[in-house]
Amino acid sequence: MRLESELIPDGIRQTFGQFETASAAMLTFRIEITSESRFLRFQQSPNTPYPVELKIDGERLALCSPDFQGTYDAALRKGGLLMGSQAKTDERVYLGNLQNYARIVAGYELLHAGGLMIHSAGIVAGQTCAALFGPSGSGKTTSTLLARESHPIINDDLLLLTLRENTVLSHPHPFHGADCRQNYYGDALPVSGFYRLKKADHDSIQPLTKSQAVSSILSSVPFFSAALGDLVLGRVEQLVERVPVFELYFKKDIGFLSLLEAGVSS
Amino acid sequence: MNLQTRVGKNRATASRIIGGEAVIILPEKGEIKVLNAVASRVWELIDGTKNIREVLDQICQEFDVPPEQAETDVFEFLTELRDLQMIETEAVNQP
Repeated sequence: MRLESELIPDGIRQTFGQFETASAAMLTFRIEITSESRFLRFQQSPNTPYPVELKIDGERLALCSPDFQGTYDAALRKGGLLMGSQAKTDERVYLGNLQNYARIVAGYELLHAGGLMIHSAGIVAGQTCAALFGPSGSGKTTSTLLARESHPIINDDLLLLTLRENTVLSHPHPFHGADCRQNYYGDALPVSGFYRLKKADHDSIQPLTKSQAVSSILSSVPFFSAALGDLVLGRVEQLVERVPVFELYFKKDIGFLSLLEAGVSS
Repeated sequence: MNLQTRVGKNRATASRIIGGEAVIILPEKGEIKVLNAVASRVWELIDGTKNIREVLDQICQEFDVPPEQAETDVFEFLTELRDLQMIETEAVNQP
């Protein structure tokens, strides 16, 4: 990754700087700020995630959200991002727009390169990554807050995964908001288990059947599009063939960490 | 829908049989369904070439279920799938 403009805000440099390299860029984005204040206009219910409309036509992506519009041409590996006027004065809006755009493009490219992006926290346990996933409110943020005193955090929201013959690797990445608790920037780590979080009054784990595992991980794959359905389903199936998937019942204390560590040693 | 209706999967769906159970996604709606063994077999059989009578005959051959019960269950299941826009139906006139 390379940041080529002097005008890039400090927050962006802070978030992406850890990943800056001297090698040639794989993907190139051109960013512009317009005087338009809003793009996608519709009612947003408080429970829905940030709305991004994604259309895929062959290798061309068109994205629209309330705060930005974007295009991406996968054949050329080039894209354009047009931000609303608020991005000029509010660095968090600028970062949020860039993150939302970049993670969709990265997720698309990763899927076509044999990997997968999922909504999941990643906790380092014994040189492996324990992937904790589940819907909003299931405890991803809580679990990373509890774990970070003793365990490095790969990410508290999103994991970038690649598949090897018998393993799945989780890669540190910069596609997160300013509040992310990421503090692991080392090599990619093998995933020891996927854990679907359930808040409970005790700590325990239960293995999921293959079909339960596939359907629950599918629910955590962002940016579903009809054009990608078959590819995503096949990739998730490959994922659960390589890594066990569990239901993790946990109460709000650090007890669940010993279950993750036991999973690593077994 | 009647016994002559030909049934096929909506092309926007993606599905796999995993551990004997069909996992189906309808990306446009964000729906994910996991079916039991019999429903999974029905899902496999609805390939756009068979009518509901042929699907029912196959289910009755493969599972220990009375024909009347199978008919009720299969119609109920297909109605649910149709309401979720997971299948496409084609009315076929009897000769």
